[in-house]
Amino acid sequence: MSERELPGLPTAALKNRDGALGARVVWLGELASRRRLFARGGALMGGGMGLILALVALPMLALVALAFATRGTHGEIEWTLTLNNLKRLFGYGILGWSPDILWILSRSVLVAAVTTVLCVAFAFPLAFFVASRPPARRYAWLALIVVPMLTNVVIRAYAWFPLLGMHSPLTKLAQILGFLAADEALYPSALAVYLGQTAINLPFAVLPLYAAVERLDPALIDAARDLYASRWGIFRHAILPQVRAALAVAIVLTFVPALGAFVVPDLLGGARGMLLGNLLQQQFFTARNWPYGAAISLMLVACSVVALWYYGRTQAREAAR
Amino acid sequence: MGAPGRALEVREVRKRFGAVDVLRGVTLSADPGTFLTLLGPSGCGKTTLLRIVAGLELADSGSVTLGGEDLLAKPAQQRPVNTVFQQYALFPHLTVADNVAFGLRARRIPEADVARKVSEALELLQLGELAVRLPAKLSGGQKQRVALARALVNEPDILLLDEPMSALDAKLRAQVQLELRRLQRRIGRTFVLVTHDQDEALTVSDRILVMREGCIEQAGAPEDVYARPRTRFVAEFLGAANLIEATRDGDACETALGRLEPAEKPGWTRGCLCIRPEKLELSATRPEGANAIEATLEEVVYRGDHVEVFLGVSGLRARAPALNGLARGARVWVRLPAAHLMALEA
Repeated sequence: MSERELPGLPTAALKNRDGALGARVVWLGELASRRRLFARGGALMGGGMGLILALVALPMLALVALAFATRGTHGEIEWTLTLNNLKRLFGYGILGWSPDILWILSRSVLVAAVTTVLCVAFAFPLAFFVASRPPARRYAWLALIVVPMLTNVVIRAYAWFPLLGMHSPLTKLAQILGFLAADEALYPSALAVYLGQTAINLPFAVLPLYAAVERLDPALIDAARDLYASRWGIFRHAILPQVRAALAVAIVLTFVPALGAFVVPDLLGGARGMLLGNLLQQQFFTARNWPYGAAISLMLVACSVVALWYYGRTQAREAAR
Repeated sequence: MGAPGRALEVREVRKRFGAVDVLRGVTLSADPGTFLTLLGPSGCGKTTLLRIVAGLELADSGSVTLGGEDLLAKPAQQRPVNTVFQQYALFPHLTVADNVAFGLRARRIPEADVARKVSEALELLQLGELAVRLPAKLSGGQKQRVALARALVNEPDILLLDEPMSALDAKLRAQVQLELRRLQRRIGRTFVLVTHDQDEALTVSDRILVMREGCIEQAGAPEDVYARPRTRFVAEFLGAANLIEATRDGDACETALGRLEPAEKPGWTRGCLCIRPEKLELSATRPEGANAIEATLEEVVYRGDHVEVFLGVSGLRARAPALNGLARGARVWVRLPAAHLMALEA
């Protein structure tokens, strides 16, 4: 921002030693009228709003429109409007009603929910661990948690193969302990999916929780101890109320991506445990049924909106205090 | 409530944080039913001492006993001691009544007793109408009363108060100090208060312990500590004081003000004499006896109920009744009565 003279006011008089204050006063002076403020604010926001419109809102609208289109014989899109895609979502296919899609939906919600619970359960101790390190070392620990996010999801899913495959020590151990038959491996399985999903989403749960745990007011913990609280009582009444908002963020940030995931379930889950993400991918690629795929996408978006609504409600409640 | 408590004994308690000696062997005792105040500047270790008694901090060495029972061996949860915290630390998600009930429920007291005790405690602190409010909807003074009720409802032998007035504005503070004093007399429990506010200490305490750099510098009744400060630190920290550098010469002292004769002979050869401003006697004519000097009124500050007078010698300050015709620039005689002229320890 350039420094200009303010009429009738020597800028030098407003300067501190490095001149910063003067420049700031002049700059704020320019914005001092409401009209100017909105003009400048609008100009600054315009670019971002345009991007959001072009990259999020328009494709979303296209998706909604597509969900009412018809698949042509060769997988092309025909603009004959129909409700068939939405009906299929609720189980009404060409062959009459079948519960398959509902199974896939409920399995997906279950997997996402379990993943979320596991992520939060692991993230809490991790957040406390990092926050209890000396400040200088905390960022090194955080980096260790975040670095895996730089690796592609596919590669991280593949990394579980040798760990859970037929010849891995873990599989051998499970076979010896009788959890698995001699010809079974830990992968592909539901367990492998949970492990993979949890590992991939964990950082999204740790980061918000860490930010909240680091700022915990210890006085409430002191008060709880002073008033005979058990360990659970301390957590429930002194810690949880202070991290509730961050917990909601952690839940949303893990639940939403976990619900739409298809790489990990596809690679680690095998053919038996199809999830929404897999079905979606199948429609767009293998089956070339874009309209039906669009309808499934809408359902996923709806689930995410519910999760965000929950988050918004928590925030509103927090603000109402 | 009203059961007599047990005597608190703190012996040779030491605590280090890293390279800092926060407590250097503190010894004190509190008889049941007394109001004890730990007074000192920030960083003198008073809050750490309080937290050690509460069990929220571990002592490096020393002992803390209550009626002979070792407290240090017990976790905070098992000590018959409750605390009112500086910012009150009320649970934000619980109503006033649930906050007050917290300690009782944590100890699994039957719910019928909880309800009765909570309503008694709310009654005692005039909080009845606020029972269902959340802490965020309370004023500072109300929060403080909730914090008091939440601690007292557990009928602790000792109530610890960690600068409980610091979040209140000055006017409210004066009123709450009186209420706190009355409350303590009424329920007859031992209160241990930590503060850096000398007025507060003088107002509420049976005994004041002035702390400095991890040690107790002087202990005694408020009037004793005020009237007979032992050291320069205590004289300056508690009330206003005129400090006069002096060299002993026989029974008298040579000072910048001339020859002064304190009632008690100082034990040093070079040291400091002290006299409170209100003990200086001003007169227009030369008074009889020793310890009289002549001075110019450098500044006369009107304070409503009195005037503060700055004398042109050695920064001496005096207090005089208001509107006695003292004017700036006038020559006056000042007498320093020997009985109030104290020799401070080095």
